[in-house]
Amino acid sequence: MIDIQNISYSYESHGAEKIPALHQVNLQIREGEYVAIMGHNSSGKTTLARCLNALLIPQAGEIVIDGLATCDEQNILSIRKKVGMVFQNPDNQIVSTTVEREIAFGLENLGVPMETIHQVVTSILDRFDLTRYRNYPPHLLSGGEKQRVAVASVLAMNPKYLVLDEPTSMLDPKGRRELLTLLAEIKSDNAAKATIDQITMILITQIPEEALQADRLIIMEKGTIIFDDHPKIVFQNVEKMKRIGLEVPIEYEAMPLLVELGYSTKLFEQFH
Amino acid sequence: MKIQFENVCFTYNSSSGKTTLLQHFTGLLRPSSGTIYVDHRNIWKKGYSLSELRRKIGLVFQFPESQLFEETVAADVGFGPKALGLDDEEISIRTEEALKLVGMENAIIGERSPHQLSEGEKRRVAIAGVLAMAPDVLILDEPTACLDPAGVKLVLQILKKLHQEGITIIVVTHSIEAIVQLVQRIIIMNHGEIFFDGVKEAPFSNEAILTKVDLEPPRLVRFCKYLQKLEILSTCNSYSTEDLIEQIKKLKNVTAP
Repeated sequence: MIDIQNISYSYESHGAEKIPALHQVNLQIREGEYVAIMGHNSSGKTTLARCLNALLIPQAGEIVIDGLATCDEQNILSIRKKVGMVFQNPDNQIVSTTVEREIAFGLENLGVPMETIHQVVTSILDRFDLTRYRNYPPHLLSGGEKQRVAVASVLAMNPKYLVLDEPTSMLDPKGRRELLTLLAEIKSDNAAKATIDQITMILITQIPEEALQADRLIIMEKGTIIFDDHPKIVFQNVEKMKRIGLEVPIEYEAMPLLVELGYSTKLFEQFH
Repeated sequence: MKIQFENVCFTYNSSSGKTTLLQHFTGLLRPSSGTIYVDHRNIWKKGYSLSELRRKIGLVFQFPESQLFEETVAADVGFGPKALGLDDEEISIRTEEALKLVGMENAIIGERSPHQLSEGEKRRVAIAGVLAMAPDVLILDEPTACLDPAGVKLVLQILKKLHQEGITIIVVTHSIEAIVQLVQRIIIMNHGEIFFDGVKEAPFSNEAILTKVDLEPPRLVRFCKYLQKLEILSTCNSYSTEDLIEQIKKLKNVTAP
């Protein structure tokens, strides 16, 4: 479990007054959850994500991951093994010269035996439909494929928690669709048939449609959590969401009007 | 392909050739065959001034904010006019006007460092830098990428205003969803060819056009169609959420089921 206890974080700023990026945030994320976090730019969502794998340490409060506090330096390695991170731009994440080596990179750093690395890489390549790109230089792949390599190489390390910070924002519609389908599959894979166990996913996004895929949606505003519920419930707060500069899927915006006209809300549950 | 005074949106799937095409518009690349005419003149004919072309056609690259480099916002916006050899007075007039066009005040923001601005503000400053060259045509590569919804809305408003001021706008994007309310004409590129070129209504009423090039119709369009299928709406011609909400509001005055 990820247990976030009353954390605050402010960035150093030059002269200007310090505005807290996170202000007394409390949040528990249980194992196996699929959580989306939305908020406009500088609402604190990326800061929160970076606190989860100890890239940033809160200046007040504490984050405890499976009993390990991120503020204790001795825990950092174990925490980073548990919490995998995928960033916005795959170009900032990919370091190796071939897809195969990229996927093996994390495992090598963890000191996994060569034999095991080989097995894991083969099964991951297969699982992510990347086998044909095994010896490809990653920079020759499309944006969507690169992001798939980034996700694959993080998942090769078998993290318990996967944090994705706006992973689709650089992708074209096709790449975006494929990545979202892949995430949904990873989530629904049963542990028996896949190499990946049920993992906890935390998806940071600006796109309401992407958030619909999660079972829980958290809305951040000015460094605090203002909504935390099922996306279908959160998106009913159309006016409030718009006031803080966020969008809701179109059907949620139309729903109150149509309900007023006498149509059933059931009609909209069938729309995807 | 001919582009007159209008708003055009290019859309594409990856590696369809749109960036290559854009680079031809400003003479950054020379076509291996064929000719490009700007205002009836062949831009590769001897004696044609490419620097004049680049003043006429302003190009805003993807993530233009990464190219901000001056110490102050005003200096950054004024960099282009300065390079054109204009005098200080003209430079400051242009800077002021360009910033105003993107909804910013020189007096308030001009002396700040671009790096202190938010991502959305940086993008607007970068667009102002191109506008300060007083282009007739503005080409933007993914102008709404990575902005939050409020930022997207602002950029769209700016483009709309610029178009009203008489500037031809060409937008290259794969987020048609955002841009469709702005443009009149859509060109869909596929594997280095123009796959579709026409009014924006066409690709949205004919899903086959989009699915063939792996583009998904915007959620708004899909929802409109869904309401049509349920016979809640009789027609579907909304291109923004506001339009659709208005359309539904009008139903109230008719009859409820």
